Order: sequence, then structure tokens, then C-alpha cells
Amino acid sequence: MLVVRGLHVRFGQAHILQGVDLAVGPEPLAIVGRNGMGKTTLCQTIMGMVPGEGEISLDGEGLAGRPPNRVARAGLALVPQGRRTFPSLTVDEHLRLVAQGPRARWTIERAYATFPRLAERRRNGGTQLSGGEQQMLAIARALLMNPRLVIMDEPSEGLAPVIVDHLAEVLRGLAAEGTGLLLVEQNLRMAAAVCGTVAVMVTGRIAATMPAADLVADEALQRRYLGVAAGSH
Amino acid sequence: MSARLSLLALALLVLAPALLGLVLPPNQAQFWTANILGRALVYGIVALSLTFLATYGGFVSLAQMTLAGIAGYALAILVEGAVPGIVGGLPYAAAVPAALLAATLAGLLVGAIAVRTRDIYLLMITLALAMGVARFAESNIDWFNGYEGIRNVVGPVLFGVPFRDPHLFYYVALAAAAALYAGVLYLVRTPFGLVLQGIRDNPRRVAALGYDVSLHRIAAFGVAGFIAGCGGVLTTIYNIGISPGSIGLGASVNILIISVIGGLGHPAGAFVGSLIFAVFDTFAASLYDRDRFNTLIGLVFLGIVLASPDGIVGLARRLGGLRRPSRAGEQPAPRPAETG
Repeated sequence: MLVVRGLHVRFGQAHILQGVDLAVGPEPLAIVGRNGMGKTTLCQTIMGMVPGEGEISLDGEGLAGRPPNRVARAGLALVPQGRRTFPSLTVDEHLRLVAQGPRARWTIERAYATFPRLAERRRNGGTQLSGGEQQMLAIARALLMNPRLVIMDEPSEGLAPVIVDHLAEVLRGLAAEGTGLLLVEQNLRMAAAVCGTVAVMVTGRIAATMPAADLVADEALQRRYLGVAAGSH
Repeated sequence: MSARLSLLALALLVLAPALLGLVLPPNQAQFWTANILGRALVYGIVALSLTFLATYGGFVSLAQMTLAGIAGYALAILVEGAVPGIVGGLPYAAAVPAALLAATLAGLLVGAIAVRTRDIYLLMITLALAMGVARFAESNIDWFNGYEGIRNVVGPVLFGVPFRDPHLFYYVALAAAAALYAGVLYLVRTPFGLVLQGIRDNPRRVAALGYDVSLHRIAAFGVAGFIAGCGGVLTTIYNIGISPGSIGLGASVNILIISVIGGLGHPAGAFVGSLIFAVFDTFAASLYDRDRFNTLIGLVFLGIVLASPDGIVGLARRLGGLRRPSRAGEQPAPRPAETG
């Protein structure tokens, strides 16, 4: 589905992405790694929001060098870190902004059925919501674009464990339905709950790709790649 | 402003000429109808184009009076009976749509030129465009009759009544203003309008949702050009012609003042600001020293902006909010349960 080859990004002297290779097949893939390893830059570069060098393709269609709106039209959606909902739009307006009509896979009704909390808050502004509600809104907004693949940048950040569990369930459902998923996470528990495979990112490269269960079981490996053991999360 | 309040205001404006007739002698009632309310409506339409851009897109443009002037000049150049006749020969039924088309295209052009700028740079580039057009009109005799401008644009005869009739002029202006006002309120609830508001909040995010930010910005300026063009046609007929002075620096800044004192938070602000402006511009000279009435106008505007940075509409909204702290549907969300 999504294939990235030899992706480099430089900000002036800083070499942020140093040749990232990854492929997200029909199975979801999680990318884990410490802060500052380039995970968010990777998401933004794939989306066309940051210029990079290298190959990016979705189902064989080359996306590198395209502006973000055309990357989105090709079928990629990004749920950005920190949610980035619009302060001046209500929940309902967020969804109407991207809704593609009654025949689409994802409709506003389906989004409300998936996230009942959003239906209760449909007239509230995008910043009057709790962190969990904003995250649901950002995910619903991405799904209403009916993407072939969703990139999620730290969706569990700052959320209570019970919300994280609900989110993991929704994401598993998405994957089961055939929507591609690239999940960037610092929370290994969340990553392993959704994805069978994790890629570890270290200083702008994918250092290793392994079954999620292997990383969860190996605390020494976690310390080496993530700096912490999963138990401390 | 709620729909009910808007309808109440509309009803009041429809009845205004009759109500004025009850309390004022006939000649004064006519003066108020055409030269205060009518004038407030037609300049309010021009200000509406700025309020639309600023409120929903976050674009403050100083070129809106210029776009109105482009419609006004197009009308004056094309229409039968204008003096001097430059192209002439067209009836109003053909010249007015041509004028609106010219303003819309010019709006798109301004939007395209300014598409990569924002904030103070957008203000400066639109100011430069405005001054360029005014200077061009002033120095070009063949097409714009230079400094003198084009006179005798008297408007069509509708229903057997000449357009100069105060009531006809007033009701046409009111109908245009009401239609454009309702049109703006409708437009901002469509996906196009929502994209504009998204652009104001976060253009990068809108792009990542699959929308071309530049095209939407340009289209918004086109819409604003059309609105300003409607205002320009009416102000030109109101002034019985157009000259470079009516699109110069002073006129452009007046539109900004009207929008700001009315309030850049709701389209109603354009008309509220325009009414206040018309009243003070007309009567300040008789209230205060003839040579210094501009000082009075300036002080009033300063007072309004100091008391309420979001203008009269913002002030009214806050006062309304104080009186009715819990209006159904608009009450702030209860503090959400902590979820993270």
C-alpha cells in the first residue's frame, strides 16, 4: 500500500530523516521511538507538508513532491500530533467540512455512531472539547475523507488509559475493514494493541522491524530503543 | 445575530420610510431615507465584502472600495446617458451585469496577486493595488475621463419610476443588502465557507484535509469582489457618477473604518458601522465647529474602538450575553469530564 524509500529531510544543517525505508502492507504498522527521532517529521513529509527527497508511493502512485491537498486527494489522511482541531468550527462543522456525501464509506452518521461522545457535543467548538474528544474529532475528520491509509501521529498522547483502550478498539476495527494504518506511537502498549508489527525509529532511520510481541516481551530491547520499559508507561 | 433579530431589523428597515414620515416633515423624511439609510445600505454592502473576508477568512483587504469602483467605472463607461459617453449605448439591464462581472474578475485577480501574503503584508499589497487603480483612473482621460470622472449615471427607470426617487432607490438598496447579507450567512455554512474558516484558523491543516488553500482564498476574493461590485453599482448611482476621489485613499480607509466600528465578527457589523458613519459624516459639521468636524468623527470612532475592540456588534453581543446568560443552544459547554 504505502511504500517509502530512501526518504531524506534536511532542515538547514540538521539531517532529520536519514534514508527512511518502510512499507505498510494491508497489515497496520506501528512506528515507535524516542522523542526527537524524526517520527513527526516522517508523517509530515509523507503528507507533503515538509519537503523531502526520496520515493513515496501509495498503491504504486508516486506522491513525492505533491502538495498536501493532492496527497490527501490521493487517499492519505493524517491525524496530526496535538489534534489540531479548528477553534472556530463546531464538531458538526468539522465533519461537514470533509464529508463526501451519503454514499461514501464513512458518513457523518457513521462517525457519530463510532464516537457517540461527538454526537453529544456536535454544537461545541473544536477547543471546548476534552483532549480525548478532540482526538476522536481529529480521527473522525480523517476518516470522513475515506482514505485508503490513515497516518496517526501519537493519538494516545495525553489520554487516560480507558480512552486509549477505546481508541485501540476503533483502530483495530479500521484495520480489519481494510483501511491502511501507519501508527506513530511512543506508547508501546497502544502500538502493540493495534499493530502486529512495529518499526523502531532511531535518529532518522528505521533501526529495526519486529513483531510487536517481541518488543513488548524484551525489556532490554525496550530500554535500548525507547529508553524506558513498557511497565513505566 | 440570531435569525429573529435579523428579521426584526429587516422589518424595521422596510417600514423605516413610513415611520420617518410620521415623525419628520416630508423633505427631511426623504433626506433620511435616501441620504442616511440608503447611503448606509450601499456603503454597507461595500463594507460587507470586507467583513466577509475578514470575519471568515481572516483577510483584511484595503482594495474593496477599489473593486466597488471598478464596477462603478465599468457601469459609467458602458451605460447609455453617462457624461462623457465613453463606450455608452448599453441599457442598465446589460451594463449592470457587466459591471458585476468586472468587479468579480477584478476580485479574483486581487486574490491571486495577494494569495501568498497575510496580515500586514496583505494590507499593504491591497493598499498598493487600490492606490494604483485610483492613480490610473485619475491620469487616464480616454477611458476614465481623468480627474473629473464620469457623471450622470442616474440609474434605470423601474416600474415607471426614475431611480432617483428616494423610495425606489432605498428599497432597491435594501433588497440588495438583504439578499447579500443572507447570501453571506448561507455561504459560510457551506463546505466552501467552512474551508475559509479553517484557513483562518490553520491553513496547513486545511491543505492536509485535501483542500487547495490558494484556490479557496482566490475564490473568496472573487465572492467579495462580486459583493463589492453590487455596492459599487449602487454607490455610483447614489453619487450620480464616479470619480477617482470616490476610490481614493480616503474612500478606501472609510470602508475599513465602517467595518471596524461595526465589528469584524459578524456581517451585520458592516451595516451597523455604515449607519453610524453616515450619521456622523452628515451631521458632525452642524454639531461642532465647521472646520473641525473631522476631529469629532475621529474621537467618536476612537471611543467606539476603545470601548469595544470588536465594534458595535461585539458590544451588543456582550450586553445581550449579560442579560441572557443562558440562552438555550448557545450556552458554553459544561467543563468536560477529565479524560486525559
